[in-house]
Amino acid sequence: MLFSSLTFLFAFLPIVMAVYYLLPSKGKNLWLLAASLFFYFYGEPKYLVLMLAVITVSYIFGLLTEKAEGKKRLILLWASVLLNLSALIYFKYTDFFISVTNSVFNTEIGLLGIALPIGISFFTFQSISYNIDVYRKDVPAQKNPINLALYVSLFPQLVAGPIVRYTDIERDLRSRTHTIDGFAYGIRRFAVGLGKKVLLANSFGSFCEIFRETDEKSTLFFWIYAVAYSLQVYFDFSGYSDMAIGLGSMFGFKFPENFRHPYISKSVTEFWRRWHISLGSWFRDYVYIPMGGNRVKTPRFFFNILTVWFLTGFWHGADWTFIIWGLYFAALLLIEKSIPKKIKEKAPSAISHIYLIFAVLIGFVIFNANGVEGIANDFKGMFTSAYPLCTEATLYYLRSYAVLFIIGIIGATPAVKIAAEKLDSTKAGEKICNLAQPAVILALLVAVTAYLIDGSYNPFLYFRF
Amino acid sequence: MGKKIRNIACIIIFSAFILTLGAACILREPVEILVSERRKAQQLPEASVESVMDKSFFDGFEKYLTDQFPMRDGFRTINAAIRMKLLRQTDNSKVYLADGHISEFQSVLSENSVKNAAAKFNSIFEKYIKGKNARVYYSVVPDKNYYLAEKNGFPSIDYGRMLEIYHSEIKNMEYIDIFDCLGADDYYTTDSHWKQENLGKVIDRLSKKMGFKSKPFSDYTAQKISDFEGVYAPRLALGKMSDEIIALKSPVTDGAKVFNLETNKTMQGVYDMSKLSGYDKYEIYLSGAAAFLTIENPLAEEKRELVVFRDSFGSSLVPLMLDGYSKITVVDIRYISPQILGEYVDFTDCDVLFIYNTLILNQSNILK
Repeated sequence: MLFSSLTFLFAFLPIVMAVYYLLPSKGKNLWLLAASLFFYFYGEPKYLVLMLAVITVSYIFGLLTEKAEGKKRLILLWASVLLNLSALIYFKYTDFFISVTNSVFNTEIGLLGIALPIGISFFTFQSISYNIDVYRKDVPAQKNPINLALYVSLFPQLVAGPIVRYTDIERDLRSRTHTIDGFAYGIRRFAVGLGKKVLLANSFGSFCEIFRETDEKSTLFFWIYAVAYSLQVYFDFSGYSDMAIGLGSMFGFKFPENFRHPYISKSVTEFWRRWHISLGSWFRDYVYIPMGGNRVKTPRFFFNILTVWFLTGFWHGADWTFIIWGLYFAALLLIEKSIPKKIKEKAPSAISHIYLIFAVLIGFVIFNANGVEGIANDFKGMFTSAYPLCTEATLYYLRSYAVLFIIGIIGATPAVKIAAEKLDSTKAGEKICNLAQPAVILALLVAVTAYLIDGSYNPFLYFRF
Repeated sequence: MGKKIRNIACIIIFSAFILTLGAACILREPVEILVSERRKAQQLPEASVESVMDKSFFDGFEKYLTDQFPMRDGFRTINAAIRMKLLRQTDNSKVYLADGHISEFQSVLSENSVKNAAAKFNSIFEKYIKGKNARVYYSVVPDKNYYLAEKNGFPSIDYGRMLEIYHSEIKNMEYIDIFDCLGADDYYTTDSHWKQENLGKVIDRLSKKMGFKSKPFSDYTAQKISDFEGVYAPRLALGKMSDEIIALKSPVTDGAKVFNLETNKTMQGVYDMSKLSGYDKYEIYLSGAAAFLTIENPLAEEKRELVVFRDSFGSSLVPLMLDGYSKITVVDIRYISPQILGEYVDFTDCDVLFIYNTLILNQSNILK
């Protein structure tokens, strides 16, 4: 089920919310678990068993690891990690490995055509992090199976993150407070996320679809497409994270932030501290630092970076494009790290920013390309004279989508947030905000409903990851 | 205190919105037809273990909720208004408004499609018409984008190139150019079709080239039939827009007998008023889409026959050609295979006209 669907907004959410607040505290987790499992069942009926298996593995191995001593702890940890990873590898990567085997050894092994369970990359990573945290004695194992099942399957962050660590919500799982302020904050975040996804990301998605379908491509069109896709993926994913954080807040949970206006960054290093923060910190804490991080000799450091970014790319999808995308960012990070700090600090801010935007646009063109051949074709369109510089169609669509691009570019910066906070900090401004905030929420809900009723383009890009 | 009230207001508005509309979705009596969109509305799917496990129930429920949503038309208008008024998008899924007309632009000329259409018509000629002493003509009806799109800055296909290809491929037929007989205002503002009452110049051109007798338009009685909301208005969804639909009547059109091969029924007169209660009022002309019709004109002064290969534009054109013929056979090869035409049509000593609009030529895979 998509958050940006009429079923979620007008059937699932009102029922879950109403019953949740009518129930006494003791019943709330059980109700949320039932709702979360139904949420998953609605999207993937046959894979509910897989979800329950992942929960069971995490629960049992968590308890066993906590009780075990010495090497046994490590063996139990590896067993739980391997079980989770084997589910991820089987469902997500089997066909990729078969394809590679066929290419390398000239074999003809048939592809299995396994459907990817929604959100598997997210909930398996959450389970792994739980078992590692228990192994490290960062947290005690969860004794209550309902609470652990709820941690793994909690519907707001189940299918597209943020990757919530067990340590982040352990206390909330035991007991949490529900406040008017928290609920209202959740509504605001949810409405903004919904608007980002439905009004902006979907519209940029339509633009990208038009670009892909048209026969009248031009160099300019390729570049505008790169901008459009970069905005689509940002509003799509950050919108989903906003909705998840908002829903969490409505139910009394505090989820970590996942995006902090990444496009205002001035380096790739900074960009990745602002983009999909929960994934970046997961790989940092569970892969990069255990490998030695940057406190190792230079060749090993290079190896660590390449490994982490290879895995980051591969996590996004079982395709060479994602691996190339990951390694592309690894290369940029290594180049940035090899430039002396003094030189980086002296670089004009505008130049640094232009470099970052350019690097990210190229990155997302790789990310969205249709295979390695697609990357070559898109680069050909962007960097050679294979296509005309501009066509009538390019100008038409640029004109037609100009306002959307302006809104999108401004919306990707913190400008609106800063302006709203500044306004709210004055007495007169506060009065305006008191009226404007509920009005904006209503306007967003009406506009989103209108788009959902009429629109057909409504995929979530991160559902496939 | 102020922020507390603001937060409470946010909660009330959000909760009221999702709860009220959610309840309305459940309590509302489902509609069977979405009138403005000319289609059946999705009904609540049947739940079974199988339909739940294969997801078809959930998919159907999603469609059901979308189709049955309260105030659906109003929300669609809001959607269009946001896109076109607020975001200043110049089209809504390729549907645009220019010079008071709604149309859907085409930006890609499919040369293969044009060649394919010509090849189909050539093969009909070779198989049935060749050597039958028939006089064979072809004409092309421009879609209204020809008069609107490029002029108003919308993407447009290269009509010159389309005709160049078509002419070079079509064999053994005489071309009748009607592009200069029409303008944007000769089409409905909300629909793709032309207005029957504005076809005077087209009929003049055809009658002169083909040599059939036609009646001055002043001799017809113009009967305003109904408000007509064409196919584009609900797609643009910018509120109510409609046209006047008119039928040009005469003793000949009233006296004609229209036989429909598919239904095996004969209708008196060329206008089918029962279609006024249907989705598309343009279907009053010759009952709309039909694979094969024969129209007998008992008032004809001479025995002369015409076979027209046509699309929906032909439905409003053919009644105006009736004065010149004792019998007109109307064939739409979107719905009947040319392979079986020999069983139903004798082309000996006939006039034959292939008249198709540019939208069909550019998408000729729908021809059988």
